[in-house]
Amino acid sequence: MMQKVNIFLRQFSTVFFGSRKAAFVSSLVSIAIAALLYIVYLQIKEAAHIELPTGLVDIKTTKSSTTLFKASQEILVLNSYHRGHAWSDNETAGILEILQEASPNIRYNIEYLDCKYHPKAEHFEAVKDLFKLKYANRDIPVVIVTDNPALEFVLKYRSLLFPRSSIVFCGINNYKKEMIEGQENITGLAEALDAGNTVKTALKLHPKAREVFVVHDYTTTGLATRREAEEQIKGMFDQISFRYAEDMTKKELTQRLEKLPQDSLVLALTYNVFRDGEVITHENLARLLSANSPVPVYGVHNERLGYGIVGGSLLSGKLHGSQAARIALKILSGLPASNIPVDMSPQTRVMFDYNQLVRFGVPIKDLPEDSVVVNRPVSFISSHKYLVLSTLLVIIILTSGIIILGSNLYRRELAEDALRKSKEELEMRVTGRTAELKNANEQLHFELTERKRAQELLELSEHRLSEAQRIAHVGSWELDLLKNELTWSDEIYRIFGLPPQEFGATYEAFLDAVHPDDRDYVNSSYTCSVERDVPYDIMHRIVRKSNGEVRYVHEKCEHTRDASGRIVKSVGTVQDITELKQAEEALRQRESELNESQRLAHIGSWDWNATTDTIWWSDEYYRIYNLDPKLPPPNYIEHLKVYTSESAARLDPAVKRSMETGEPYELDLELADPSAATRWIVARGEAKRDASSRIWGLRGTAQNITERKMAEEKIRRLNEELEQRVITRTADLEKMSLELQDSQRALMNIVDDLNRKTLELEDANNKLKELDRLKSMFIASMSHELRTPLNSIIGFSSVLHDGWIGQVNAEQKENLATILRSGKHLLSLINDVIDVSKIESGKIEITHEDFDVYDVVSEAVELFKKDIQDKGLDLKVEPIHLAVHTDRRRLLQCLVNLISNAIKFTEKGSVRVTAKLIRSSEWIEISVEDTGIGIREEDLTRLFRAFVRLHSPLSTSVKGTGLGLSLTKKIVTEVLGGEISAQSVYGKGSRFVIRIPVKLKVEAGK
Amino acid sequence: MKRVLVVEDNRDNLKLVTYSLERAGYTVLSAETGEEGVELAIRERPFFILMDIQLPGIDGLEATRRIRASEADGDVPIIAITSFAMRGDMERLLAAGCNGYFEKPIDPLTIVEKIHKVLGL
Repeated sequence: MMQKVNIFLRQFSTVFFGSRKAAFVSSLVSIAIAALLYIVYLQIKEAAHIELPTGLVDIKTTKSSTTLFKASQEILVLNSYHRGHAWSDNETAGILEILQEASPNIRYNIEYLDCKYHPKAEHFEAVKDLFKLKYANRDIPVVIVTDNPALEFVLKYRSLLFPRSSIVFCGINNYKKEMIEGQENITGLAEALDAGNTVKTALKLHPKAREVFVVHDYTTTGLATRREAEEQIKGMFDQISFRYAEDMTKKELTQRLEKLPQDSLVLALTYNVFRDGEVITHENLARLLSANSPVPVYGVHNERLGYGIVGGSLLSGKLHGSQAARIALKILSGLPASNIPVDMSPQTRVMFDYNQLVRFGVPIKDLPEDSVVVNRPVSFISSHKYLVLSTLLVIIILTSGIIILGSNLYRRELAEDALRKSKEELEMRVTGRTAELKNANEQLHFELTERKRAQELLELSEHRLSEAQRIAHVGSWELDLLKNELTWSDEIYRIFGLPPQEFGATYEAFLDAVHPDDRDYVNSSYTCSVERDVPYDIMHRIVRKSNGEVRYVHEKCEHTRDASGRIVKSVGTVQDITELKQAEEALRQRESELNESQRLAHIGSWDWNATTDTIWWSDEYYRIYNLDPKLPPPNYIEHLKVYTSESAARLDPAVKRSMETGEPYELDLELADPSAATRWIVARGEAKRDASSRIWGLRGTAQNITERKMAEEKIRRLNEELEQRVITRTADLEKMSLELQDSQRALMNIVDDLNRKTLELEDANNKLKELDRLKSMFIASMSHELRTPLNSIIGFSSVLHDGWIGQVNAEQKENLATILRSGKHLLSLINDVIDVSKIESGKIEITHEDFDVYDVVSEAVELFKKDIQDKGLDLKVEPIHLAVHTDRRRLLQCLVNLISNAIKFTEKGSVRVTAKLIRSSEWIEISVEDTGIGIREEDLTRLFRAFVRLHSPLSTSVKGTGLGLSLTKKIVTEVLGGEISAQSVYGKGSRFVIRIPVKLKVEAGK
Repeated sequence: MKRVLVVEDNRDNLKLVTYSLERAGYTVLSAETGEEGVELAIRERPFFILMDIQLPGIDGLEATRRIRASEADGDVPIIAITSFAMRGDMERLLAAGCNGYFEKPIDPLTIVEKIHKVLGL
């Protein structure tokens, strides 16, 4: 069972907390927190019950004491004063506390005589009656009275109200045995002030004091307290003078207090009523005294402490009351009151107010040993001792919990680390061991296969040998000198062109195969080699028996000796080097070609092998450097000397770089040859790479570029010259350009002037045009004004002339006719003027009509029928019918003008009007011919001008305006879109011609 | 007796034209302003109207338009008398509703004949 529990606990803690330790710590922590909270709660509860200095009633409910009482026991508490009187309330509180502690079943009645407000006790009668009503039938066992007035009252009316009750009194001042003389069943406490102790204590704390001002009221109690104090003080303080207050009002008291000398003290006794009947509470009196007195105030009542008095040997009302209650309880439990003696002992305690002590500079250490200080600023810690301690405890527990957990975690991590490490180690060891085993296994395997392979290899190598020989064209032979036996490998047969193993293998036979020219050489070489033991290594020709082909072979051999040192065997090789020889030949050919080409091109070449550090120079290269080709080429450092230091400085890094990075170079270098003139070459070099792109050397060329260089130099010099010339020329150009700019600017100014002038001209022109236009418009509008009176002149004169208004005689008629004629003349003048102005101002209206020319001509002619007849002229009109599309009215106007002129200026003869189409039928020509006086040549030009009247013999008698022809011209040209001309022979006649388009085009916007 | 209306502000011209019209047998009503002319036209419904274009207040064209617009006398022949005859005048006259026009000065001897010609009488 225990095991099961254990397991369960372990599992539980692991699941929820991760480990047992953690679980333990967490529970500890929770307990601690719970404890803390509870203690806090208690403290808060406690705080509510800290006792305040005075006044409050603190009712505790406690367990009932063991003493049991009869159910519904009754007690009456009779107070002398009123509720709110601190002393009285405290007494009552003390009484009730003890009574309730003893038995909650006791019923108590509390009454107040209110004697502070009614000090003369005139209301006692009324109260007596009230109490009679209330208490007469109630049989109260004990009546507790507080203070003197209540005792007086009870004693006075005892037989009436409480005949059978026991009486317990307390708070009685100036108690004397005689007070209760003749009374039975009465006991209590006397209120004993401790003024003496108070004053003693005060004087000790204020040694400089010389005077004590004693305040009290003039009620019975007040006076009693005074007497008591006086008695206590009597004879005790010789150096001190005591002054007793009179019966005063509040104001008087205040003033008196203010005037107190510095070396005095105030002693407050019972003071509840002022002279004018104003009631004051204990607290307020203390406040009053404290506020208005410059010196410390001491008291004898507990009730004043905290409201202004410094302190004193203070009476406690509460203690009084509780004592009285205890006596009452004793009486209730059976003890007769007469058996209890009156308690005369003082119920006082020395107490001080911290605030007042501070105010008057009384050091705490001077206070008497067992005195109580209220209002002391309580340090948090001292008042909340338990709270602080418990908090600290909890904090410690929590901290330790954290530390435990922390260390736990740390240790765990360490353990995990160690574990991991050991695991790794183990693995490593395992892998190591495994690798070793694997190796050994492989080794074994390897040896087995090796053996097998060795065997195979052997077979293979034999096969290879013969293959190798075949491929390399190298055969092997063996000559046994003793037996003169010659053994050839297969390849030799092939080289010699013989079918294998056919040859009779002797030395002589071999020689036979050698080229005839070389036989001697070969033979002597071999013999020499054998005899002198020198290496046999020769090249000779052979002739293939099969096809007579000559081939080159390279022979080598070694001799074997016997024990005596004699050569017995030769073993050698024969290599067909025909191809090689051919290649050599070709190469040599190529080389010479190269050399030739180099010589021709003046380019030399070099080749440097870095691995062997050998350099090769071509012949031309030597020649370029003016060196002897037969000598070996100089090494690199040496060869740098051929250049000038400047060129060498450029070449060296380029070569080095090329070796490192393979970067080819091409540099122009100057040769430093003191013996010759300056020579330049262009040196090129590049890296040689092998199959793996590794640089294993350099190769390059050099070319004599002296001529080129010189040419370059010349060009450069020319360039410089050119540039110089360019600069000077540019300077010149700039100067010219500046000049140009100036002239340009001048030109611009002129242009601006011109523009301005042009604008001015345009402006003037516009003004003129405007003026002209306004003029025309003015005339046109005036025309109306001019025509209106004319209307009347012409109208009325014609009406009168025709006899519409009445008969007219011949002379009147003639005169009227004159008026009429003049009017009409004037009208025609005005019309002409208006027409001119209309045309000039562009306001002429043009109407297009289709009509026959002949019609218009006839109409015009019709108007002059009379005049023609009168003058006896001959009028000829050619009846030509032509259709035209133009302004009929205007055409008529022109024709009328021309015909009128013709008639005017012709005295005799004829007037002829003709018309015909011209200009491919697009124009029409109308001519008016006359046989009149004609026009002088010099006048022809002035003819069509306005207001020109030609001087002629007829001019004076011929009426005219001078406008007619100019208007006609205007109409013809500007309205009808045509031309007008005049021809004349002076004295013979004139011919006026109008030419207009058959179809008048519509002009837009005129 | 046919009554005709002459709207003309110049007294002399009015007198002359009245001679001609009365001689031809018409009774002549006259108005000196355009507004008066419109009123009379509507009220009297004359046989025809001679309308001077240049009038104070509303001009003859406006008066013509108003008469044409009125129901009472929309059809009455109106002949304009104008002194300008500038370009576009004829079109304006016809557009306003005139049946024809004469240019000042008017020949009193021939005016009635010309009127009859225009009206097709």
